[in-house]
Amino acid sequence: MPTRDVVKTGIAGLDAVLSGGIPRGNIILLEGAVGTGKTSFGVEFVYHGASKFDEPGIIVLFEVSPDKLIRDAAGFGWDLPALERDGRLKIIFTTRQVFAQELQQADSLLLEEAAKMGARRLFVDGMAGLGDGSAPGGRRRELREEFHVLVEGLQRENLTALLALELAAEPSVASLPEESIADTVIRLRKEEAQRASTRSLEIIKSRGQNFQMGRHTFRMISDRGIEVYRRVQAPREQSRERAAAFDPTTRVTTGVPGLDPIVNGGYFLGSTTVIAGISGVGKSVIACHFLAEGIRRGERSLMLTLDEQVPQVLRNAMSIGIDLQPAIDSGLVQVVYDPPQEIEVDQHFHRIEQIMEEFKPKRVVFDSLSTYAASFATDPQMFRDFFHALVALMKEHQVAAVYNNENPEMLGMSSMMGSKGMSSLVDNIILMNWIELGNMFRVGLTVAKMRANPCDRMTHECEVVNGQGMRVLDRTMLAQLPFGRYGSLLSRAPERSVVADTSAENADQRR
Amino acid sequence: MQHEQVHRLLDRFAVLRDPCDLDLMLFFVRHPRALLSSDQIAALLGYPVERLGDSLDALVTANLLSRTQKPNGVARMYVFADRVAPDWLSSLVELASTRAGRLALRNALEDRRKGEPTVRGYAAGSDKKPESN
Repeated sequence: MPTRDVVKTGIAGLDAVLSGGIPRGNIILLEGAVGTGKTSFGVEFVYHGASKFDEPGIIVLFEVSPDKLIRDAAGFGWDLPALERDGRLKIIFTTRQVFAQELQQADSLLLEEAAKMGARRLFVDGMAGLGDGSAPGGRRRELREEFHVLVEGLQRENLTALLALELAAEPSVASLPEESIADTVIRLRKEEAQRASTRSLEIIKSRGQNFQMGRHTFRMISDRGIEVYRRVQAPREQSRERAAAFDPTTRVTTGVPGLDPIVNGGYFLGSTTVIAGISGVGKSVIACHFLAEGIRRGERSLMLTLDEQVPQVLRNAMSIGIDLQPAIDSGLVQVVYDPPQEIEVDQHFHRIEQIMEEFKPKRVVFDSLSTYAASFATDPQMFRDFFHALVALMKEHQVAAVYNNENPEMLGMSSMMGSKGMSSLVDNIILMNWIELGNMFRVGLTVAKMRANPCDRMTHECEVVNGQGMRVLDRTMLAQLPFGRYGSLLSRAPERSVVADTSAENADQRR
Repeated sequence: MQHEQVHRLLDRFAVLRDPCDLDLMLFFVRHPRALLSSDQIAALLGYPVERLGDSLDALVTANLLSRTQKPNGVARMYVFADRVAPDWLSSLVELASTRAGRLALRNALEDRRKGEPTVRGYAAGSDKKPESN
């Protein structure tokens, strides 16, 4: 089987979307409105070719001044003058008219320059489009023919050419004539989301290769260049799809005194656990215990927090006697904060993928699922897709993942996962509830679901002690009446159970 | 910069004798490799083609600019030799980067042109020299 000769773009994340790169010699149409990033994209394509892949390149400009292009490229850390000095890059300023004529001439100066330097890549910034279809039929055919001639000229030289075409507006269903002539069509967009704006990239077509369809987010980052983040819904490696068959024996202990016996010794590796409860009920405390248990066992642990910044997480942990800082310093624990206000889902998920790949934790805590849901409130389907992808990622890495989920109900719960409708994805669900008895709130913990495990669904009392953390109480330790003396604990109106009281009194009399 | 300083700078850069020379050189500083016809450059800079042709010749003669010889083509490849240009080029570019500096340079060049009855074989101020593209 012949090997594929592909041109790697070198743009972070893009070659993965393109299944390795673009077939050599393809004519690539890069289309997008003003400000979508076409010039930066094209320059980076040529820059990486010349600097990383030993493929010298030419940049042809019609309107942008080369000195401005060089200045802007420097902002991304690309030293174009150095490449020019080394003869690996030429920036040529010309007009569209001259450029079109050059490509039709056997003794073209442009192609002569390309041949002299052994150019393999060409970027032409600012191709004139064929219009929006409003041109008269005859003129339109003529324009199409001109574009065809241009493409023929480029193909003759076996250059992989990237032609940036400015779109005044999103094309309608009928594709542009340029799109049918070009081999690869990449469309850049700037999309508004509420008051924020994100950039996205879509491979419309690419002859001779497989690629991941749909809109992928990208960013332009100072000192680095463009980073493309695969659409969170895009299929990943097969290993991730097969990851559901997780290890059915190894347990990951919770670290909360009294909790492990209730959860059959711990969560399975690769399992998904949701701890649901109102704010302040102790979800983050359980998370800190989970991390501390990882430290005690020498297991790498990660906490990804949207709700509290890292210093605050450390302070909270310290208040229950858990000092995370030494473990962070030694590389055993990572606490990562991402502000939830403007989470861009593809980029955020890419970051988590990177951390998983590099840090390889065994335990992960997400604090919290409800904050993710709030961030994606305008697009509930996006939240579901993200959570699906997250669960698959955690299973692929065989991680015991714990997701805190704030339930808005102060007393009792009418739904385990609120309106998210995600409980089928979750292996274990632990409910944390305030229970009002007498003049105080006590905390009840109920293991409501434990997939592939026995589960008594009994509500246990637990307490958080300053400087010590949480423990699930043994009923015999209670000075007050145990939960067993009450009925309807989660109904928001618990009542003393007459049957239970009578049994207890009989037991006292027997003594 | 004082008037004398501008003149001293131009003294070191004898190739510049006309405002068109200056504007053309600054154009090639911005576009060091250009594939254009002289008509197009003249249109971009707003000079008559004949005047511009003379400035092109001057820069080529001074080895600041190279151009391909291509008798049948519409355009020529012009490559500005900024790397071999003297270091005072940067002083000149810096001075010309402000409106005041550019005007000072242009005025100084106008003074020179008036003071020289003939420049490069044709009458000062005349645009009648044939275009040399």
